[in-house]
Amino acid sequence: MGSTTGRPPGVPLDGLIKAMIGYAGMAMCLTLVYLSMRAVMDIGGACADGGPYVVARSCPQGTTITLLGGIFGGILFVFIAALGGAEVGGIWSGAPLIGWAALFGALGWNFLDYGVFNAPAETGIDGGLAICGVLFWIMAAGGLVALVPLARDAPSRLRTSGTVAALPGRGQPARRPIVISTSGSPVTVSRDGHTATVSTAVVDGELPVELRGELEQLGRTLAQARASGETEASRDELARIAADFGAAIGTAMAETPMAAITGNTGSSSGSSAATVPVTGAPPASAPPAGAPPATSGTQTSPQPAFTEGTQALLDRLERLADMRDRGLLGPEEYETAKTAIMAELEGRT
Amino acid sequence: MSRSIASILLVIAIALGVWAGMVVFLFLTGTFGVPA
Repeated sequence: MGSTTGRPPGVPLDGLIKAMIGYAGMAMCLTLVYLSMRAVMDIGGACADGGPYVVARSCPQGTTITLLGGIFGGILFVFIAALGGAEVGGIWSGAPLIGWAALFGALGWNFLDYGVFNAPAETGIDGGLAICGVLFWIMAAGGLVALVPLARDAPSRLRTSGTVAALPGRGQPARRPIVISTSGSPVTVSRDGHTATVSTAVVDGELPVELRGELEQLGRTLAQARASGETEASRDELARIAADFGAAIGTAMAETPMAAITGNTGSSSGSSAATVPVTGAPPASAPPAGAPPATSGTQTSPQPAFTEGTQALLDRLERLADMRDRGLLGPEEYETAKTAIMAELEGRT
Repeated sequence: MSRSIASILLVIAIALGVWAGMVVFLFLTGTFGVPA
């Protein structure tokens, strides 16, 4: 329902590379542990090497290093995958949970395979291995269940949920301003303990994941407030915060230097801090949730002949109009952001 | 880069990781290239 903002959320390349290295390493180490366990179980399930004692059964060649390497390497790669996955977002931000479920799922399968499914005919099902296998699979299932909220929190839902567009309590001023401090790019937006950084992803035509996550959380909170019948004052307060974030995003989008597109860092250097006047007053004409996006007089149809930078500016104008139509931007914030973008457009022409 | 493309790349990376794990295991256990 509602309108869309165009393209899906962007994933920073460096974060993706880290996530790919981390997840590939996790898979490699998990495979090593899985195969090592099977090699040991092939010789009876127990072995030993070294030490002052007489070894009854030596471990298969190389399994000591593959097992230890798999365990400690896996810990390292889970850490890397968690760092990179956090930038990718969605289910990929749950690298420890994914690793947990994969580890216990794979090892549980080994127990069940050797103890139940392919148990020796002469001994029959091994109860001990079967119990271990079931317990391991229960533990793996716990990790998968914990992943569900991450999968449901995929940022793409913001474009289709429309919950933010149905904000109640319009027309009331915010009690505290939003402070946007810039030092070229990125731009940091802070208010009441909420801080988000607008990276060059904005310039590339995407809302940053952090702000998108904040808006999603806000939408859910508002939906819960409506569903639970909270007081009008509570809904108004939530609506004010929502409007503040919308204004902050719009302003940040307008202030993010275009130099990031062209690679020129000269136009927006230096640090500054600005207190954004926040009215928290989305326009009274904002459409209700589910309504199609209104056509704005300021929207400009993309033309394939535009340069990349010009197209990004036009895309930004469209998103601003969309946010205004959904009630996330007040008229003043919209005009301020539009004026800044139009000035850049004129400068480019 | 969109999330969907990133997800595809990550799945490919995981598949490559599994393949690398099998190769490393076979190499370290001395069974690399030896028929079963």
